[in-house]
Amino acid sequence: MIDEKKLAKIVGATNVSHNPATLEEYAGDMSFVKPIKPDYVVKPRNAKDIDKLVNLAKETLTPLVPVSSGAPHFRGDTIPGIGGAVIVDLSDMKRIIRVDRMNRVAMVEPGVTFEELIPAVEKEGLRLNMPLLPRKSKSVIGSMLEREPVVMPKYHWDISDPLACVEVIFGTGEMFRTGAAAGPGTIEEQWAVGASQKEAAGPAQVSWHRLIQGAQGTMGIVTWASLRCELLPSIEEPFLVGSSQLDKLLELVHWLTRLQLVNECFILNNINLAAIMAKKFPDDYQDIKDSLPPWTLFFNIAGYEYLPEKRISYQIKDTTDIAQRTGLEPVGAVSRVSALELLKAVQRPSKEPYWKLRYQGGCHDIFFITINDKLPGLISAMYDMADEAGYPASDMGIYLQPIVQGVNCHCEFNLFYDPENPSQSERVRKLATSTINNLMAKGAFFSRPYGESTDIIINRDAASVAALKKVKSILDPNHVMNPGKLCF
Amino acid sequence: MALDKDIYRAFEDVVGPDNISDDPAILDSYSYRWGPQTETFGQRFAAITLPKDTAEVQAIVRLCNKYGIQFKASSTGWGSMSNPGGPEVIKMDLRRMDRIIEINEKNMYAVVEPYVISVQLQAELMKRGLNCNIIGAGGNCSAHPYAAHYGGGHMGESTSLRERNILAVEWVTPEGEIVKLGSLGSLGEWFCGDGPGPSLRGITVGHAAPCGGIGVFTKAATKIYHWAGPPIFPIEGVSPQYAPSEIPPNFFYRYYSFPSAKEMVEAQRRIGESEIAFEVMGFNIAMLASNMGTSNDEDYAYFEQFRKLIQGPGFQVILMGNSPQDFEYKKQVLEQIIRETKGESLKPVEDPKIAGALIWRSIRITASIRECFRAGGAFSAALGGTHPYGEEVAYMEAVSKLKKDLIKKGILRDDDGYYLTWPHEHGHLGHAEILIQFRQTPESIDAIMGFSEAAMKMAIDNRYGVPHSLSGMAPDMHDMFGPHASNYNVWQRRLKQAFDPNEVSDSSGYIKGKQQQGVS
Repeated sequence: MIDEKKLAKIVGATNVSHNPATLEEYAGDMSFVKPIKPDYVVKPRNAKDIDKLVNLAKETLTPLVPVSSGAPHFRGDTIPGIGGAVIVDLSDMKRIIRVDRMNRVAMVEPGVTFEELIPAVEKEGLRLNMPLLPRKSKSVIGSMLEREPVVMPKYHWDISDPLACVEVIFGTGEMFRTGAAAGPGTIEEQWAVGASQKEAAGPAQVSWHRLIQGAQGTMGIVTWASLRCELLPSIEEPFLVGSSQLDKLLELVHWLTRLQLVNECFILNNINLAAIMAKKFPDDYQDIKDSLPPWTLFFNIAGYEYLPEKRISYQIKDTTDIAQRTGLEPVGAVSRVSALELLKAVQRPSKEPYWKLRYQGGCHDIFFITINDKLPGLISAMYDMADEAGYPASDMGIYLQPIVQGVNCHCEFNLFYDPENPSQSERVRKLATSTINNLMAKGAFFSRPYGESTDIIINRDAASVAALKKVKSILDPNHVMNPGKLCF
Repeated sequence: MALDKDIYRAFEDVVGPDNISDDPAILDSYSYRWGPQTETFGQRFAAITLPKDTAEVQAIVRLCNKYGIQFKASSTGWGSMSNPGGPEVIKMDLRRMDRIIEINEKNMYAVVEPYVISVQLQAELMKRGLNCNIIGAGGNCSAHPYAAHYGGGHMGESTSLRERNILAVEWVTPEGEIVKLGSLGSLGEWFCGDGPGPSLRGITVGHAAPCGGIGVFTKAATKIYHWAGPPIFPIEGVSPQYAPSEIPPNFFYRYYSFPSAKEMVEAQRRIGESEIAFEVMGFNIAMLASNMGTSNDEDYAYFEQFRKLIQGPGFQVILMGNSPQDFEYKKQVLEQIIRETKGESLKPVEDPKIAGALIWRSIRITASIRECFRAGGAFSAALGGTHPYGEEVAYMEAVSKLKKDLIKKGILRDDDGYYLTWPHEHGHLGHAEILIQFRQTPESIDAIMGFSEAAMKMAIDNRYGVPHSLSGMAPDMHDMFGPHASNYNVWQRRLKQAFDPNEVSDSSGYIKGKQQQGVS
């Protein structure tokens, strides 16, 4: 076991804990990953603390598990993979380092949440391209490092967006800055000549940020990151399109994203839309759910600085024309759900309690990337498998998020359940792992594998695993960074 | 250096006798150089091979590992990064791998082999109402997203950059393993290049391509974009006078000049933020003149005409309307922005016949050779990074002074010392570049080498970032820049050593596995 005094010397005695109750909080989460208690929880105050912690871990071969978001966690990636670990809780690192209106970029520390960053960028006339209703405690950096899908596909040019540059302490104990932030010069010197740490790729012929994203903390610990921001619209006009025919909605989404007509754009089934919009459970939820069509597309048209009314006006005409060609009608409200109310909701983090927990107290997500053509088959297969497992289809939320400007679609099945009910929990746990192979066979690409399903997913491609292990051997040769995750 | 007969035969066994050669005439045709070198013909390859598919590429790579011979793979092979780094290098000319494997209209991606050229792919896409990014080097260059030094082009505003358009990739590593990135490895599908877990795209390309230094990218999927223009451009005439007979409906072309760089960049920023432009290209008037002129005489005549009409630096804009009302809106916003930023339209190019031809050449990217080579037979460039506002302009202003000194000395073509800046992704990113045209003489080469070194030193001393031009041309430059930029040279070298332990993938355009003595 690592010496507590050494940890205290780095972060201060008050920022080291081995209180059993605290350790218990980090030992497990809402996923089905087996709990393992860490030895310590430390809360670094700055990048220097992190640097020293990683170097100490390297010397003592102590596993480090970085955590940036607050509880509850859902995917098991912040649960130690082996015993003797130290949790590096970054949630106290809350500096919003810079918001640069001219270059549309912000720079933050890992503990900054969406709720904290949104007002800061809004003050500068900017906004974030954020995930759908992240929980209140969700770290902005955590979200970007996990390549979480974002709700405005138009501004999602590349799957790594909106992440720009990062400063990272690799498992070797060495500091590195990715992309344009690498240098020459300090960050302050770069600002002085008008640079903004926005170009993510490089330096030179490697894109290091891509190796840190999706790594679940197995390569190093990020001390700050910069991110792309978008302009705050001057006016917006949101719409809903309800339908029982998913294929028609997907056709409409294709054209809306292809022509880059809309900002926020996603599809929810009636279960998820009700779970988001209901104010009282279970009655309100049930009423809304029953009143909604099986699928609802949400999209938002925005105007900016120049001729915003004119822009909104013609874009409404263009979207309406496209919708009519697909036999659909965009409207301001579907049943009891208003487009404006939904827009306001999705431009902020989820209100408490977190929307995925409101219905039954627990939720397990099965998510993957695919293309529109494959969605109907995948959804149908998932319904069949849920049925076979005895999981009620009427409880399964579905969220379809076009990403990468409509080239891909993030598909997410939300399995709501009561975590206090052992038989329900067990049914969901089994369903979560048993579906993977079947979904892959039908075109589901699990680009972000977590928990018990990881091996099934990652072992399909031995050549990529071998390449990833080479990368790992360079960035974290002592395997101190979150061991036991992915293929490491 | 000639290959040993047995070794030659081993490669011949892979590709067949018709697809390998060490004939000096053939070897010389691969050693022609147009850049800042005094000798027109450089180092010869030991042999040229023409593999037909991934299996043959893999077999060649394995033989190279077996015999300790380096390889340099390239597709259309335009720049010095296609040249060998030493005498014992064999060429993999990928010209037989020329298939468009898939155009997925609904999901907006195309899959290509390395020798599909951009105008080929674009022509097929336009028939389907789609378009692709084309690098500034021209539509005659490969459409493969790894086959470019720096992957930016004229249509970056609406079609991004190559590095950011890449989806799934098939990669023959320097050790001869076939790695299929993303959904290709898991499912055999091309739609995503990232995961499971960390994205291996990261080790294969950065803000510049690996230029042959980390294996061979045999197939790749790339994002494609909407095209509202005609399925086929209505071209009339005979080369070099051919041009479209009309401006397509809902297209608009203007060249604007500004009182100073400050107003020009501000106009680009506002155009980007308002999301109106299909293309913003920071041509200076010399490039515009070269684009239009069908001979050097015409080129200079246009240049002299234009320089009397402009206020200062400028750029060209192409608007493309997806609907009549979309087009009208974009035109109105553009007019307002130009008014606010004191831009003035260059009247002669408002003529629909001239504008129509400029639209066509600036979308098909057919005039790059004229713009770069015709005046002097050779060109070079100092390339900045991708921050469009502030840093890049400051860097270009500084390098422009060096350029003007060489113009005064009569070494470079006189284009008033202008530089180019243009935005990508509606102004989120951008590019800056200073183009120099010259005749290859010992005097000019010395001066240009001095210019390049001074521009690099300036980037370090003044904190202007790691320029794109660093990669692909001078591997030792990484060891000059790296210590000032997070020691990236150390990390890139570690990757090189891990993935290419025998250093068979020619590093003359990448980073060498071993650091050269005396470079730090």
